[in-house]
Amino acid sequence: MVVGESSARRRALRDPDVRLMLEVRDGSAAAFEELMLRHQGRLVMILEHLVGSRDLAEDLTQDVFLRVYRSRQRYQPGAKFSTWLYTIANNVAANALRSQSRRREVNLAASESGPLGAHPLEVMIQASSGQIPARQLDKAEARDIVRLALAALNERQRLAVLLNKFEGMSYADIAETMELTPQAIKSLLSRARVNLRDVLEPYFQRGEPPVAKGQDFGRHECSD
Amino acid sequence: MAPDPTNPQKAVSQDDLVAYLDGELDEQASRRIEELLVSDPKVRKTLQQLERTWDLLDRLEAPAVDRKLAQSTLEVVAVAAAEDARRQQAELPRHRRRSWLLGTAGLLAAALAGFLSVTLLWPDPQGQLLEDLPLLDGLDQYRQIDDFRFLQMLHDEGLFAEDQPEDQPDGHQPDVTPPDPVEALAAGSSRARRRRWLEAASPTRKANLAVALERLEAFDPGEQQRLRELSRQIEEAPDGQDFREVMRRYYEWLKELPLYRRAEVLELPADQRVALIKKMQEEADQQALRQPDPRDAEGLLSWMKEYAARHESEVLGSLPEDRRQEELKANPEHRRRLVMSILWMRWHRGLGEDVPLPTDADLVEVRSRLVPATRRRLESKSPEQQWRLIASWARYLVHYQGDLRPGVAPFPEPGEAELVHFFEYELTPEQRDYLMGLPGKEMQRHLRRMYYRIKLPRSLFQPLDDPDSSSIWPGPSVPEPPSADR
Repeated sequence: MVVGESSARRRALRDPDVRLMLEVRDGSAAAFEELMLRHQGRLVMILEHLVGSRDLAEDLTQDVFLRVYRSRQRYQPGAKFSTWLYTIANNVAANALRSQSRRREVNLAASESGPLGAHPLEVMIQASSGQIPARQLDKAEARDIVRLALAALNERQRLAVLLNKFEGMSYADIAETMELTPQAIKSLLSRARVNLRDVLEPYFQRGEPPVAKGQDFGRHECSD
Repeated sequence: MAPDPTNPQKAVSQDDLVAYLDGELDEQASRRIEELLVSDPKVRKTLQQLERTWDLLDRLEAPAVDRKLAQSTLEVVAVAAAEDARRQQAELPRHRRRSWLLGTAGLLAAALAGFLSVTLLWPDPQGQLLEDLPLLDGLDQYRQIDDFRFLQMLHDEGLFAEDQPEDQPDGHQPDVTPPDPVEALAAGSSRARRRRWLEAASPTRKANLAVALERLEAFDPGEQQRLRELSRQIEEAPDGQDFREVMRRYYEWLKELPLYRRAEVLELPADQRVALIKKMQEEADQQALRQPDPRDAEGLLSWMKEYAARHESEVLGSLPEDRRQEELKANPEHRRRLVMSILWMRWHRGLGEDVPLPTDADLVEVRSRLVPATRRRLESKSPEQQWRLIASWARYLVHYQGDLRPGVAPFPEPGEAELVHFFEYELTPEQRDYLMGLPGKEMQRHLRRMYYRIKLPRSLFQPLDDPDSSSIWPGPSVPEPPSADR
């Protein structure tokens, strides 16, 4: 596929980020700063959910923007800017998780299970014990519960959810970012949402702590 | 939610429900869900629950990121930019470092001078365009090249070198592409010649060149200088035409890479990047060796069919008697497929045994049906290696036919909708998990492979009760997927 100047311009008209990135490519520091400010918050949030640490997420955000900057002269407006940005972010996060795993001598199976380890539900139950009476949950508690439920998803499900929910990416864009097919993303998101429902629905409807489903959590099918 | 086979109208998958919420279903599928929402309270409840819990994610507000992080990121980037500039300067020959500094300062001054100085330097309104003609014609390509040294490394390593002259199958004349006029003009051509060429160029091409000039002049002076210097070095090189071709192919190759892969390649220093490109190309060559050239699909299949027809009785004779009788009662098309599958499996595994051994004459015959490039590739190998490759390609034709020329496959090719249905309703959750763990194209291939394993007559794939039939699949070793047998 040849991305000519005219198609680049058309794309730029549709995506203001592409316009900014083209200005960055041509040496505009102001455009880089604007681009960074536009994406920094969401990028930190998504990376935090991927790696489980705010400090690390901020470091990785800097790394992502550094890579964007270093690739600026070769930037080709061949896709949505955010797809490119999150492809880089995904790789940066995956590298960070791999390094963490090596350092901690954690086996692959554990790293697949997300930042809470191999038994996320147990961690969730411990974290929430005594905090879930049958009353209205306050805002901070609710946020913690949602965060833990998200953390209990496996890495792929979590990333797909974050990109879909907070970046508003289509299945096709998520597929490109994650190097999967749109139909795989469809299935991935479906199971992620069912998992979230199964954990969150009892909490928020009845204040019930979730029932551990053993190793199957994060993979079980909707029973309806 | 599993589909209800007793009531196909009610069949709705969980995936579809979620895709409906995400606005990812087409109109027809959306309408089907909406009808179900009206008629089925269970579906309605499920949808409401999914929507409610999805909305709960809104409580995960984006953290307030203060200016400090932005400031710190800008500092990190500024430091990196300074390092890049220092490295770039250090890579320049000593005698050019001073002029680089002077040049940068001078260009800044020149930029201030603006249009007037340009007009003074180039009173001819087309002067700058003519001067930069080769650069403008491939501006994006030039921008991907760090410097002449990098281009030289690509060239010297033989990466992106011109393919061998690719003659066409017998009876076809190769397309003759005239040399590009700009390239023909590039090497030390006079301004008068360039002007003549420009005057003869199409309006679109002229417009594109004008836009490219506008872009070039909007770059910072250092970048403009770098690009013009690169263009000059290429023009002055004795094999400048080769360098331009390498640059063009590198650019085309780069564009085809997935974005993440491209970013990985581009962020490496020149030496490491060249090494990585070399490795990637070697892997691609290996992969290509395992797959038939699409232009050979028709020739290979026609030969396979004729060969299978000639040896049908011998192949069937190698089967146990009851199985042979059963196959003889089947229709001829089924028998032909069976014979073909037994042949390629046996050739791949061990050549011969109880199936007919191809002769040298067969080899000559099959080679004659292939394009010359494939013929040459085969002829450089021993007869046994040739048969192994042919068997590999034959198998590929059966299983990955969608990747090749449509319409020449021996088995019906499933459409997208059929594959999607197969994926959603006919695989187990474990099989879907396995597939989803594969990169996109791999996933498609393995999905198609599972489809054939389940849908085609079983006798095609395990004709001789061989439990190890999976070992003959082509390509790098991959974990065997969970069994498709249910």
